[in-house]
Amino acid sequence: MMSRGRFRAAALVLGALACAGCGGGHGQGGRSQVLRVPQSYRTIQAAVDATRRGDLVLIAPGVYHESVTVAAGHPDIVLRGLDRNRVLLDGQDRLGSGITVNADGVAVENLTVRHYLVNGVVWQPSDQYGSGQSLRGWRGSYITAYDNGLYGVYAFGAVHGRFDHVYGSGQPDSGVYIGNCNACHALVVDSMAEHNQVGYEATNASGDVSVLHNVWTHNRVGVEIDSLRKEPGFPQRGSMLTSNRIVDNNDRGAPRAEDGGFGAGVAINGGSGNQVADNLVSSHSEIGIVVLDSPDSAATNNTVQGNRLEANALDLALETANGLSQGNCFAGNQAPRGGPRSVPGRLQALTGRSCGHSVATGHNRLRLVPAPPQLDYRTVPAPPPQPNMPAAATAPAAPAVGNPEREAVG
Amino acid sequence: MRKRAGAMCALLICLLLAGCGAQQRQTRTSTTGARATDAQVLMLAQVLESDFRRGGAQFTANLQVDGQPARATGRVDFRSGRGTALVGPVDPSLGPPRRFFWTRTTVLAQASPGSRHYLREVPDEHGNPVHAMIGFINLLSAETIDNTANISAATPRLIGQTRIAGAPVDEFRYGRNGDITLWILTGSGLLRRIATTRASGGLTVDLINHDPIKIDLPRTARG
Repeated sequence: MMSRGRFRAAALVLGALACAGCGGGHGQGGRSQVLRVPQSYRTIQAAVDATRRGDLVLIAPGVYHESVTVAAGHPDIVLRGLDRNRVLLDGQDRLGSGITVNADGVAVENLTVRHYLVNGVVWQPSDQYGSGQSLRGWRGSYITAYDNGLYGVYAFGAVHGRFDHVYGSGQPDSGVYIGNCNACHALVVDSMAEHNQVGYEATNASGDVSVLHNVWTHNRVGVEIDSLRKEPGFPQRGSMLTSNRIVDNNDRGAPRAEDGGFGAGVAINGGSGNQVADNLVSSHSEIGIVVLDSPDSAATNNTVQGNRLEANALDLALETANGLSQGNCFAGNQAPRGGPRSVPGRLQALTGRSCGHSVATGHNRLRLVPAPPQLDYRTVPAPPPQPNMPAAATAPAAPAVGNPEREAVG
Repeated sequence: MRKRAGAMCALLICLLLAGCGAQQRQTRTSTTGARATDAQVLMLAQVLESDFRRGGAQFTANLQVDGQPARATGRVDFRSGRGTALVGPVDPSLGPPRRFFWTRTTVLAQASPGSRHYLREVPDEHGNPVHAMIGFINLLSAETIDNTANISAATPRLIGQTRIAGAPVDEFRYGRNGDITLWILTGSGLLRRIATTRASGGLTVDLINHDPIKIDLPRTARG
C-alpha cells in the first residue's frame, strides 16, 4: 500500500508531468510534445527516435544502461532528467558514450552520466571530416558527468552553444571540452570540474569562446588551451578566460592522460590572442599561469591581465622558442607579497600596468614535471549531489536554437 | 606542466598519420567495405589501450630503407616506451642487419653490425625510415581509450574477415584517404597487424603476441 507521503509525492509528480512542455513549442505544424521515459517509452533512445522538432524527452528518476544517439534527423529537441541526481545514465564500464548528439539545436539537461568507456555527453556533427559542416546550436545544462573514460562533456565541431551548471569529475582527460570550431560562439559558465586530468580544455577552439565564473579545482591541470596541428581547426586563437576560480590543481587522486601535466593552473599552449583576466589562480605546485609555444605553433599576442595569484610555486611564465615575447602581455597581475614570482634571471613577468615588456625564456627552460602515477578513473569517488535545474518538471522545452551562448543563464 | 597538449584525438588517425590536420577535409577514398558499426568503432577505440594494458609485444615489420625492402624483428615494452629491433635488408646479400634500441626520446643504433657499441641518435622520423618505424611502433599504445567520436568521423570501414597465421582477423581501413589498415583479432580485439601507405614505400607492423616485455638498454651507448 502506498503511504500518504509517497502518494502526495506521486500526485505532485503527475501534476508536474502534465504541465511539462506546455508552451514554447517549436514544432512544425503542431505543438511540441513531451515524451516520457519510461512511462511512454521504455528507453531514452526510443523516445529520442520518436521526437519531432521542439519536443521534450522527459526522463524519470532511474538508472538507464543506454548509449543514446540523437541522430541528425532529430534536431531542436531537449533531453531532460526530472532529477539531476537520480536520473542516471550508467554505462557500466562497457558502453561507449552516454549521449552522442549529431543533430543541431539539441539541449541536454539535468541528468547524470557515469561509467562510460569514452565520453559522458558529446555534441558532434555526424560526418565531421567528410563534410566540414559544423553542428549548429548545442547546450548542456545541469549535467553531472563522472568517471567516464575520456571526457565528461564534449563539444567538437559545434558552434553556437554553451555549457552551464555542468559538473565533471574523474575523467582521465578533461571534465569539460570544446574543440574544432571557428568561430565557436561558445560559452562555459557557472560550471565546475575536479579530479580530472584537466578541468577545462579547449583545443583549436577559436573565436568568441567565453569561459566565465567557473571553478576548476583539484584536477591535475586547471585549464588548458591548445593549438594543435594534428587536430582539425588549427590554429587556435581568440578565447577569453575570465573571473574563474582556478585553485589547487595538483590532484594525485585524479586520473591522467597521455603526456598529461601536473600542478598548473592555466596553460596556453601555442594559442594566439587569448585573454586570461581577472581570475583567481591559487595554490599550484608548479605554476599558476603559463604561456608557451606548442610543438606546432607559436604563442602570440596573448594577454594575462589582472589576475590574482596566490601561493603558486611560480606565478607566471612565458616560454617561447625564440626567447622573444611575441606580443604576449602580462600586466596588472596581483600577488599578496612582492609581486608575482617568476624564474629569476631568465623569465620575467610584468607586474606593471601596461603590456609590452615581457621577457620570455627560451624553449624547454621550464622544468619537466614527472606525472604522478596513473589512477583507475573508475575508482574516483562519486561526487556529492549537485544542484537541480529550476522547475525541471514544468519548465518548457528550450531547444538550443538561435544563440544559446547569448541567452540568459538560468 | 604538461609537456605537450594532450587532447586525446583519435591517436591512430591523428598521431600516426597526421590525418586530421588542415587537410582533413579532402575527399576520402576508402569506400570499400561496410561502414563500421558503433560496436566496431568502440573496439577500434580500445585497440591502443589494449596494447598498453597487455604490456608489450614481439613484432616484425616490413619497411623500405634506401629504396630496398627491409625487415625488422624486435620487441617493444609499451609501458616504458622502450624497444629493440634487428633491422636489415630482405636480400641478405645487400648487407648484415643492425640492432637498434630506443626509448621515448632517444634511438641507440649499433655502431656497426655485430658491434657492442651503440651510437645515440636524435630521432628523425621524417628523414630516417628506421626512426619512422620506431615512432610508429611507439604510438601503438595508449594509457586511455581513444575517442570514438573522432574515429567515427573518419568513417572507418570493415573491409572483411581473413586469417593471419591461422588466426581469424577483422580488417578495417580508415584515416585520410583510407591510408591506414588494421587487422584486429576476432574475439580478443587485439591488434594483429597495422599498415600505412603514408610512410615512404609503405610500412607494415605485425604484433606477434601481447605480453609484458622488459627491455634492457645497452650500457655502451655513446654520442
